[in-house]
Amino acid sequence: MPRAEIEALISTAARMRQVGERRIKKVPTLRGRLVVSLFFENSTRTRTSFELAAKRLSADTLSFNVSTSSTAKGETLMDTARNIHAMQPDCIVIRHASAGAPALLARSFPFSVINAGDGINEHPSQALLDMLTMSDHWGALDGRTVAIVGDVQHSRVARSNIFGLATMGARVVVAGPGTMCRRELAALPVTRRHTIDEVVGEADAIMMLRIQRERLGKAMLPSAREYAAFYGLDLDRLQRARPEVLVMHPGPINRGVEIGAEVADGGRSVILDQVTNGIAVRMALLYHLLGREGPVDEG
Amino acid sequence: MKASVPVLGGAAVEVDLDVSNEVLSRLVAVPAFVDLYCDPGFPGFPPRETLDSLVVGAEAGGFGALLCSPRVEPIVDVPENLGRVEARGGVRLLNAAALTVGLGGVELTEMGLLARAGAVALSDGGVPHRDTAVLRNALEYAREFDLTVLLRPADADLDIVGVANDSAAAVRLGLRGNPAATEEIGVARALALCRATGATVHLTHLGTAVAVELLDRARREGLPISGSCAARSLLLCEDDLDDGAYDARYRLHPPLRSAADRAALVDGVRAGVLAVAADHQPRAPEEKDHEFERAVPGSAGLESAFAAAYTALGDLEATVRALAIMPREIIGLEVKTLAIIDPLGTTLPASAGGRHRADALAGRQLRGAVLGLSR
Repeated sequence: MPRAEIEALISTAARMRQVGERRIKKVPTLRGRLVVSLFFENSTRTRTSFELAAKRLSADTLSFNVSTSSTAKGETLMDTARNIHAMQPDCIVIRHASAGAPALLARSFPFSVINAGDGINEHPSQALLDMLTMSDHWGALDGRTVAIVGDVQHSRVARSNIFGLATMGARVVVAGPGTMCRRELAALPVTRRHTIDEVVGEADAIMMLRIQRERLGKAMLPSAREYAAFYGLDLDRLQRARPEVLVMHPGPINRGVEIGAEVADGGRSVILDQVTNGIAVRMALLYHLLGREGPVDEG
Repeated sequence: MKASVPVLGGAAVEVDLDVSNEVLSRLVAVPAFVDLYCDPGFPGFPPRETLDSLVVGAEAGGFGALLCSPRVEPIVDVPENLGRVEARGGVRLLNAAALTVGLGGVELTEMGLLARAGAVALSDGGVPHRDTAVLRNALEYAREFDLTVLLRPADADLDIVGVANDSAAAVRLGLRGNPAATEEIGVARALALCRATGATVHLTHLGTAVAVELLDRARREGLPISGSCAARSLLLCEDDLDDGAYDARYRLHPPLRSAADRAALVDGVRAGVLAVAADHQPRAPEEKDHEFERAVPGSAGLESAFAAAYTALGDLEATVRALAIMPREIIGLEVKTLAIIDPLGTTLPASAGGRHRADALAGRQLRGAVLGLSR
């Protein structure tokens, strides 16, 4: 995504946020448009965030749950999409375990496609909401240093942020266990370190990634206590960070593993701002894709 | 009696020795040896070894430090199980912690916490890894903590086949053979993973000519890899089984390979490709008092390692490099202790004065003797 497009989305999102601050949190911009969310992976916050964004823009929404859909009966992704296409949607919001699934739909169908997470590849709306959150505090992102800590290798959040932040002129430093921060990350525009202690002092923002509990005790990560000891953000480490540092997390958080409870709930945490900004960013995405014909209703 | 002994390549050192002037005149002090894979089997296996007998054996063999295997009871796979004794007499006791939980090759250990608690290297105690994906992850994880990973290279499925080298000797003796390919596959896999991950790897128990050749090539390529063989494998080969009448002291794992393999190991050590380990695995008499196939594999090695290597190499400098200098580099260790050597003395492993009876070199007269340690 080019820099101008990211800037436009962030700026639109900042305006969209005002809709949520009104008594009546709804504008008629996308009235009569159909937004279908098609989630092949479990998600609460991203799915509800997209649905709420669509509703606030007055779009009709339809939500397909994979466990009750025909995909569970062996239907292919393309066949599922053909069926949904027959319902004449304007936009599909898709989360899928396979990298490139949204791209496949985008090139095969006329409706707009929003990637809500594809495998370990990308999660662009999360990166946009993260950049909006940073931009709220800093203005321009140029020259800022963002540390991303944890399972960078398998994190679509990390990857979208790395691409987005690099485009916006920020510097990304990653840290995490060798199994989750492999040397091959050198292919991305990042500086690779190991423990959180090696990055905590230089960052303007520290983005903690969620450790998937199912990886604990497997051949990827030995234990929660080892993770907390070398990669977790606790109060002691936060005190060695820059005083104005932003603590971020895409959620859901594992208190006491990657982030101490007192840090997650503390004054430097912008984790809940990220959630609020998530709705605004998704409204901006829907507006840019579907609502350009008319101006945002200010009423 | 206080006496001055020249240090190999350095100044002299004052030592307290009770020897004749004739012996004194030929003594030389060298950096004390470091055993890279000492497998004492305690606590948990009292008939094999006690801490006291281990230290006495190490001092007698000129070893100033032992890198002890995690394969003890309880297994050193959590920081709480790390040995509490750091030194006894002039001997430092270092811990290699387990690479995988229970040496099982499935789950990674808390390598960071283990290192913080004092582990200086990682090893699964010679147990080969069946799951290459786990091994790759283990190396990725270990790399970031700058810990050397000791691997006995072996294909896990072939490793459990046979009790003697799979060759004419095994056929003659009617023993089930274990092929050299067991190790060759393991070495090739370890090299590929070392190259892919950048982890620092040390290959233990090497015994084949192909392993030496592959290791030499990888080191020239600049990979962070090293390797070693047991001192006894510089002297013994499968042909010794013919003379031994199924003597269980030659029941070793991996098994003794061919004469050509033995010669390649000697060349490899002389060329500085291989380090040498005592590969100390003491066995209780009742563990060896069995038919060959059923005897517990392993041999003591601390008291005979220097003389075995010196006899095979015929070169004191090469022997010291392989037993003392290279092991220090491999685990990044500084050991200032010296060993006092009589190059013209003789060593009779497992003789009446020896503590360790189950030594595969028992009954041989070896060149060179260790008189003790000097701090």
